[in-house]
Amino acid sequence: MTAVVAVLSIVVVLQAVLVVGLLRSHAEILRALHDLGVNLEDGATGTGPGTFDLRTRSGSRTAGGRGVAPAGTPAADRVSDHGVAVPEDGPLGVAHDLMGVTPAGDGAAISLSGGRGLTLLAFLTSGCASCLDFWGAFRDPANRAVGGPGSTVVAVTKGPDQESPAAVAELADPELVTLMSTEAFEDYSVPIAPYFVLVDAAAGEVVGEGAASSFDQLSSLLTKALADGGYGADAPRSRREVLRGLRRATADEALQAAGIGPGHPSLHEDPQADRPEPRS
Amino acid sequence: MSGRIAAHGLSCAVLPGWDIRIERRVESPVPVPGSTEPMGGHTQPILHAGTSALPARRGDYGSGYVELMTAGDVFVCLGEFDPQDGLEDMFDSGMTPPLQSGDFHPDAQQRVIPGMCGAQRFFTTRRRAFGLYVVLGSWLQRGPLVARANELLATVQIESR
Repeated sequence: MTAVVAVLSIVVVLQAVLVVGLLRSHAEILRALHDLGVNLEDGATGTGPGTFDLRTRSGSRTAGGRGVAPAGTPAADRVSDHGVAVPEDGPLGVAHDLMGVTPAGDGAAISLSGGRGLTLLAFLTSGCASCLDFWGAFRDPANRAVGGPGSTVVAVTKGPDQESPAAVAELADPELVTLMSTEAFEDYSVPIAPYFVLVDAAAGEVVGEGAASSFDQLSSLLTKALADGGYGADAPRSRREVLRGLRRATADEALQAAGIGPGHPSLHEDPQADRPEPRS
Repeated sequence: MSGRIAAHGLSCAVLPGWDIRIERRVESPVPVPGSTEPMGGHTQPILHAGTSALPARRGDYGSGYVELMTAGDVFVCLGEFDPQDGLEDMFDSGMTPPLQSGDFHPDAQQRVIPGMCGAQRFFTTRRRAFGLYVVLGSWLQRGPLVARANELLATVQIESR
């Protein structure tokens, strides 16, 4: 009897070890899928491969093993088995200003250095099926803040030598800033469309880039990446930041960016005092 | 970024920190009854430049953007008029000289925004008539802002029609 109990006990312990191992393996698989943008929870949006990767301001965090191509991979080869573009590992580059034409044939230059806030560059085409979802989503002004509060979206297609301006004009909402520039695709090493690059104009640097197969997936990936990267109101603060009372961007910082610091004359003068009499 | 953008016979250098558009609004396809003129008249080229992101939809004189300007921002509008308008006395002959701080006044804005100021000039060159309208984000700090506007305007080139 004692021998039977002992054997059964050993079997139970072995089964418990097996179950724990299976659960752990399952959790690791789910975590890996989640990092790739696949959410298997009920009602989850944005299923399918996604690779948006956002780096910290210091650029010290890389995305090794999270759906990125090794550093130095040519842009044309940075495409996953699912046909989705993947970002390149390693530090992200500086922001490049954009120059090109609009679908209406007007000239346009967009500065992405020395400015304010985050700008999401949406590299799209008029032909790819996945891009249609983004063109449609960006017709809603609320969706143009997908890069975080106060952010803007600039849709970029290749130039008129490779894209039909009429087709782009038909897809782009009149209020969506849209630029046709093959040079921009080259400057940002865009593998294939759709591809997204998030630029911090104040720092003049790229803070994240990657792909998504639908707008809902892009929104989900960006929200998570922004919080992880320290952007936005929901961004986690380190223990040191909390203990030292360090804050995110404040009104003081906004004034400082405008050249108004402590002791600035404009803070101590009556603005109306310098105002001349209205002209007759 | 270096280089120039050009459209509709206007061009300017792309200076760091400037958002620039050279546009010509779409003319109405509906003619004025009894005329071949489009409803609302012919549209003319217009150059807009701002030191922060220009929204896609703006008024000719910058409405939609000037309300968003901060104290350190500058807005430049170079709008073409019908050549016949250039015959009027208010149009000076030749490219306008650099702007001075004294050219600016809070009441010279199309719509007065407290703390800001504007300046406007009209001139003809190469048989084309233009109105130059510049808004500065701060009346108190207009000195360096005028210099910034002049830096851009010095690169503007106008072709003959």
